[in-house]
Amino acid sequence: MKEVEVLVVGAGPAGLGAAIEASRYGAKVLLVDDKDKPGGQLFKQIHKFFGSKEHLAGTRGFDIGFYLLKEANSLGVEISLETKVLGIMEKEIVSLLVKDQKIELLKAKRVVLATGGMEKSLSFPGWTLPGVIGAGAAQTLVNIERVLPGERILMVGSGNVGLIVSYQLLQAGAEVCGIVEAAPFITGYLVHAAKVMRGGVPLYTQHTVKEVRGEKSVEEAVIAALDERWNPVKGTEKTLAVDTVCLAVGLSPNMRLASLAGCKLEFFPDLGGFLPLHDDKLESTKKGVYVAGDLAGVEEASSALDEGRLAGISVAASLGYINSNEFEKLKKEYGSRLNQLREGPFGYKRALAKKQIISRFQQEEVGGTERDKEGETNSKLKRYTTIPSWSEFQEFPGYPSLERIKKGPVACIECIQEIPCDPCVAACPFKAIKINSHLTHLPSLREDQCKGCGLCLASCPGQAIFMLDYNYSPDKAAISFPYEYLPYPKPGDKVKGVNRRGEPVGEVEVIKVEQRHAFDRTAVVTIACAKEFIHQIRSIERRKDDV
Amino acid sequence: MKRIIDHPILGKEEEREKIKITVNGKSISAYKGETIAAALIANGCRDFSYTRRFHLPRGFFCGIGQCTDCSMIVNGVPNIRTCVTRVEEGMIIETQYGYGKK
Amino acid sequence: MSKDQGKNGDRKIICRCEEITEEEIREAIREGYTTIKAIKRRTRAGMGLCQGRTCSSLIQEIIAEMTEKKKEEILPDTVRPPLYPVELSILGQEGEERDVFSEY
Repeated sequence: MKEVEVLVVGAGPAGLGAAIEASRYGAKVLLVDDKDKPGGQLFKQIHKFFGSKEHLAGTRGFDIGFYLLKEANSLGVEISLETKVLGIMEKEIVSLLVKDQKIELLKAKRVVLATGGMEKSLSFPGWTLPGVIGAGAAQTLVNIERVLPGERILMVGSGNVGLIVSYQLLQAGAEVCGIVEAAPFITGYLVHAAKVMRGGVPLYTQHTVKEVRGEKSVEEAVIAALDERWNPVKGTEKTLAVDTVCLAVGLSPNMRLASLAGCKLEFFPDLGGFLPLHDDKLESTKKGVYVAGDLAGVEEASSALDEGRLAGISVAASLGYINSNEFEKLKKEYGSRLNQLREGPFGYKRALAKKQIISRFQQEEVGGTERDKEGETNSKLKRYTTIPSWSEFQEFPGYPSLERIKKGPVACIECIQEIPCDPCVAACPFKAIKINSHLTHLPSLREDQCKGCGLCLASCPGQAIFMLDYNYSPDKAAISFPYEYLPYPKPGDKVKGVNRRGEPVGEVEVIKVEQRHAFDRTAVVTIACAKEFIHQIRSIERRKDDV
Repeated sequence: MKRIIDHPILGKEEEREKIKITVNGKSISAYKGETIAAALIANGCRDFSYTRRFHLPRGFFCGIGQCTDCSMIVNGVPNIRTCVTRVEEGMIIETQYGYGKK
Repeated sequence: MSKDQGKNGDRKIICRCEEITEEEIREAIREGYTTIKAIKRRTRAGMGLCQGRTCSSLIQEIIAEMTEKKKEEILPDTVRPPLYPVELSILGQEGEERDVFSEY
């Protein structure tokens, strides 16, 4: 029987992180994945990630995937693809099904489970029709297979997945006819919502899909408004001619293998559902079995990666490859990196739930069942149903003063929710953007130091920074913004300028379309418009002709 | 449905080897290395199977080989999950009805 | 339910694999089957090829709505090996593999 020191199950960000760290410290690692390619969902993430420098913030997901694979290979991690774990038995024996052909048994001293998440669903009459698909499936189709799932798409769910996939569907050339959200507000990051709204996508908050109709596949969808008790309001039905309905209603931990391995599961709604209890070293209640990433609580790729790294370090330490002082130091370092990602109004519930998991784990050891009371909420999050107006944006520390705007080119940072992200700070050569002690604090603009160079524009993963030049000409102002749709406009083109909600405001002239290596495939477009529109226009109408 | 020829982030489509597959007796072209599901959707085919109980159409749904809605008969073998199976030259693909052929 | 009733109509499927409708799940709950495991045995929901990956959380919602139970008390069904469908001929391969499976 083959023997390995560490078996890592799942080659997404968490599994890669665990395999990389465990083998960096000297353990012999086998990384298996049931798919025929490694990377999990990373290679279909074509957007720039949030986070800090340590999390490679500002880098696109697929590039992070390449870096991780390269690192894993250089460290000698053995990767076995199309390898499914059928079960984990007593005596540390794992049964593997290789290429659907052969069962192999393996003895592993430690196992790290990084089996990821599964998409949740929403049922309505017609949801089994071809053309109703998961958001992850849509993302695979457009970004990996390069095939559109449909041409007119309705997205269900305004969380980050729904918003990001909507944006990527637009980039791929599909029309997103609307985003339906049952909550009375946008649940994902406002900056992601702002991108699709500038692209002209309507957001229907407090709405649901009542029914999807079609003979052989989706032909139309009926949406309706919801009352306070989440019941559809009669008479508010609206029929949308769509050929595809995309479900983005959240993920739950894929805990099936953990359950089979004997890990104790409990329900943590803020982390997606039932998941294996674990300690601060990420070891589950089953000795020698560690868990990381979405399996240990659904978050996002950056936290999955860091959690995977921490699990790999814990495993290496438990095998004696890291001494206890060094281990404590590393554990603290990764703990604080993870905490950074769980700060702010979007993260604090996950942070609390993670604490609860650890305290429940400790009680499990002594036979208790008490759950910690939920801590104080520190959310200062204002929930938006749409993109706020200029006057609201002006209240925030990234928006330049009117006096400063009149003096000449200046950055205008429309980042108004506390999300863990800071690439704009490093992008500015003049240190004009500042984020205080916490990664989630809002960026503030030191407007006298800003030279209006525009380098911060493409660095912002939220595409929330614009350049305003009030004195472009005697009667025109110039506005620059990131732009990631084809076909690109050309200098001299007369196009429609659109406001933050994608509504046409007035005709503008394209002055410049810049593509630099440092912008990493984000174009920066500059347009000239009447001065009065300087606070309104934030993009141009997407051209809807064939790409 | 359409293939994405050019893309602002992913760039132009790379040259890929074209192959022929047969879907319900009709020959269609596909790219080597893509999944059966992608090839079918690119060729406008979305109903991959019909259910046993209510005889209703199903297609590409989860995209990761879990839901089995996209199961078809491939080279005579039923229950092949087309979202995780790649096309091969000359593959014969048929709509699945219930657990097998119509 | 008749096989040819309505094309889509109001029928709302919960278990996609076994084509079990919401009404059938509700009926089972009214009959007193109030765990995911019991509903699976009563209706076949979750017994199909995907093993309840999609419908389990939908059924959990319905149980929570119709009974006093809290969501955390509505446990997922026991996961059984093998975790992926395996052809019988492969499972039957000679050697120690078979002994190990009998350990379950």
